[in-house]
Parts: sequence; structure tokens; C-alpha cells
Amino acid sequence: MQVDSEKFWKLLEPIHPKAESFCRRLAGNRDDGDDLYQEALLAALARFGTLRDEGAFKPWLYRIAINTHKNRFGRGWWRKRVRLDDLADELQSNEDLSSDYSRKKCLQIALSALDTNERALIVLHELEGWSIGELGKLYVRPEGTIKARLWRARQKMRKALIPLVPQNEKNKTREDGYELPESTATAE
Amino acid sequence: MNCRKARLLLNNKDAIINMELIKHLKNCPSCAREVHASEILESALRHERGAQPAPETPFNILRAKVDALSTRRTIKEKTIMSRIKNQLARRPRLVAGFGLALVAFLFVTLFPFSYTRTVGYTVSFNNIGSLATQTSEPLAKVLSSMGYKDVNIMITDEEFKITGLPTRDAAREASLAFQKLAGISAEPLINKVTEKASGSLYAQALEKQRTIEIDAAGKSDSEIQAELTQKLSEAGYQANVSVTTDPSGERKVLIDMSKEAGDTTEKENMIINCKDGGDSGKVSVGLPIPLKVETEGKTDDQIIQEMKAKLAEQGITDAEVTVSPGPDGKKRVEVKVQKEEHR
Repeated sequence: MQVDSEKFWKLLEPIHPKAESFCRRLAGNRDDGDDLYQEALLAALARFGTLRDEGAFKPWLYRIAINTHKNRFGRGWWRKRVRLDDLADELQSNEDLSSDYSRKKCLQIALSALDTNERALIVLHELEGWSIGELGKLYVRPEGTIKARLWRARQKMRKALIPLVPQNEKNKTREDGYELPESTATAE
Repeated sequence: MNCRKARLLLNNKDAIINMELIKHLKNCPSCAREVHASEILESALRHERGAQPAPETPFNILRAKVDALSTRRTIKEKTIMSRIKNQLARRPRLVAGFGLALVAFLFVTLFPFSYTRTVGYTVSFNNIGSLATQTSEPLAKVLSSMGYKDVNIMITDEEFKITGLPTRDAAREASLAFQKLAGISAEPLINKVTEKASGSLYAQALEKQRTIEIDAAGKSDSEIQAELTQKLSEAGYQANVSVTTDPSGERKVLIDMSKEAGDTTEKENMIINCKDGGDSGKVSVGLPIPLKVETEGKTDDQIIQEMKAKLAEQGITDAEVTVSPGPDGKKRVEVKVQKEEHR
């Protein structure tokens, strides 16, 4: 099938910055992200002839990027465990979780606990600002399903961060009297 | 409030934080840590949203890179083998799946699974007293005349047992014969004698292939004759099959087989007698394994090696082969195969 590559590049140009940024966030770092982006573009270029609706180019490209990540860059559960431990080790030496470096590392730790699809959902919804409806079109799933998956992904991310919560003097047992951390108290 | 309710409320952005929840968080360090973790996560996400993204790759440079990669890949995929290699490299999980399937297949076909096969039947009668001793000799004669020459009769205080019966029907016949001789109507106990054998599924299939089995239940002699002839013909044997049923209901199957041996006009003649027996009226014919070794002009060692090689082709690796001079001056080759039997 003859691929109209000029048309492909023309459709890509306006969404290129966002698409590249998505790939970098999905992969976790810039270098892997750029590799992923180029692989995804190669795959998309090869399959461009099968795209019937040019208006759906953006979700179509993002789907290819997610699948490329799953196939080539997605890590097995055992590697995920090693990576989580490595990241957590890096962080423990720096106890101030409010610093920019720590927040970045915390996010990496949280995202490392997710599989490719969950990570893509979080990145697109929380960081790229996609709506639930847009995500529903991307995954061809009802909005309820997308919301449930997002909820589960957030739970996993929270669980991954629990070991990093500092055990300070205020976190005491019932007998000693536990005081709420300040931020939770202000939620009242 | 318990932890489950508290976490449901905390996970629900629209939920109202009430005193009950705050009280729970005061008393439950685990939920409090989860709240703290949630705040860390929100803070990290907020920070990332507002962070300055890394500079994007200029579009024309990106296009040039991708075009170069595409050209390189097209050149690489010119041959079918390189295409396949590249496709597989892009699908590591598919390759892993194929590898696992191959390992599973080899395991199933080569691993020596053990299985049980029936090698005979025994008949026993309990509590028949002195009748046992009186009838054992006449019974042995009757069974011998019926063709069961390898049977043993064992008598103990509690039990009268006949062993070495080849089929279930033979066991039934033997028990009937004993009942008539002893004039009793005691119920016999017919037991299977099994042995454990082992072999890979492939070897087991090979064993089954050397046996032709047909279901004789409800079929006339001529039907069985026709079916056996056809099956033997499919296996490469020209056979004269004769099936007869005598007045007592016993069915006798006589087969006179011959087979073309390679390019020569020599034929092997084999006569196999088998009785209608086994379970469910099946007729089983065991096909012999044709093995021929030219002995002229060869040393004994050469003959032994050649015979062992032919046996190995048939899956028999533990045979003892000896060569001795025959009565007609020709060399005589003897093959002994021993199998371990576990009963």
C-alpha cells in the first residue's frame, strides 16, 4: 500500500510537541521517550494507509505510541519491582519530600508502579489534561470504565508512596496520642 | 468508622470530610499514612503539571531522523529472513510464547510418563473349603484343553485363586469351569493384573500403532473378517483372515499375513492366532516388527551392530543381540528384549 507520507507529516506537525511530551512522560525519561516517539512514528507511518478518518489521527497516533511502549519498552513485573526499589533507595537519603527533586522522584516512583495502560491514563488525564470523554474515545471504552481505571491507578500510586511517608514523632500509637499532620487538619 | 469507609471517603473527591473521619485518622496511623501519601502524590502531580517541559525536537530534524530510520529498516528487511528477524525482535513476547510452546511440546512428547497397562486377570473364590483341593487338578486339565496353558492355581485356607489368565473372557470361562466342576454358585472375584510402564507419549503412540484393534461387539463373523482384512491391508499386510464362532460361543480369529519386504520379492509369512477377548469384545492384533539383516560376508560384530541399529529405529534400545551358527550353516541372529515390569 502506497503511504502518503507528506499527508502524515502534515497531520503530525501541529500535535508534535504534545505527542513527544506524552512519549517522554510515558517512558519516564527524555532519552527513552524520544526513542519511543520515533518507534511509534515509524509504526504509524507504516500503517498510515489504514487510517480512514484523518480527524482521528491524534488518538490513533497515541494508541500506537501506547502499544509500542507496551511491546518494546513495557517492563515485566520483576523489573518493575527492581526499578521501584532503586528509585526508593535514591529518595531515602533526601528526606524533604517538598523539594522539586523529591517531588519528581516521588512521581517517578508512583508511575513505576503502574502498567503501560494505567500510566498512559494518568499521564493523559492528570498531566496532559485530557477529559474522561476523550480518554473514552482513545480506549473505545465507556466513561465509567475509564473513571474506574483511573481510580485504581491512583490507588496503586498511593500505595507505592506509602513507604516514603516519614515516620516522625507525631505518628504515634493510640496510647501515646496521635496528632494529625497539619495539611489534613486544614481540610476540615 | 472503619478503615474501609474512611478510605472510600478519602478516595472520593466530592466527599465531605467530617468529624468522624478526622477522629478515625487521629486513631489510625495506617489511614493517616495513606492520606499523607495521597498528599505527596497530589503535590507531585501539581508540580509536574506546572513544570517547564523539556525543549521539543525541531520538527524537520525529527522528520529527517524518522525517514533515515525507515530507510535503514527497509534495507534491513529486504530478505525474508531479515524481515522475520526484525518482526520477531519487535515482538519479544510472541517469541517467548513460541519458545514456551515448543518446550511444552518437547516435554509432553519426550518425557517418559508412566502409564498402567493390563497384563492379565485373576479369578478368586473365597471360603470354599475342601472343594478347592478336589477340583484343582481337573480344573487345570480343563483350562489346558481350553488353551490356557500358563495358568496357576493357588489354594490357601481362605482363598482359591487362578492366575495367569490373559483376558477378562478367559477369566469368566475359568470361573464358569470351576463353578461347574465344584458344583457351586459362589460369585467369583475377577481382578485385573496391571503393570506400570513408562514411555513418552510418542513412544506410547508408536506402541498403539503396532496393534490393530477392532470392536467386535454386535458384529457377525463376516463383518469382523472384512474389517480386519481391510485394516491389515491399510497397514501394508496381505492377509487371509478367517473368523469362526464355535457352538459354545467362543470366537476364533485366524490370520495368515504376508508383507512385501522392500524392493525384493521375498515375503514374510506370519500366522497369528488370536481370540476374541479383552474388554468390550475388542479384537486386538499385534503386528510384528519386521527386521531383516543380511549376514553373508559380514562379521558377527557387524551383524550385531546392524541389528541393534534397526532395533533402535523401532525404539528398542536395550536389546541383547547374539549371533551363533545355525543348523543349516547360516548364521542365526537372536534378539532378547527385556522390559522392567512393575506390578
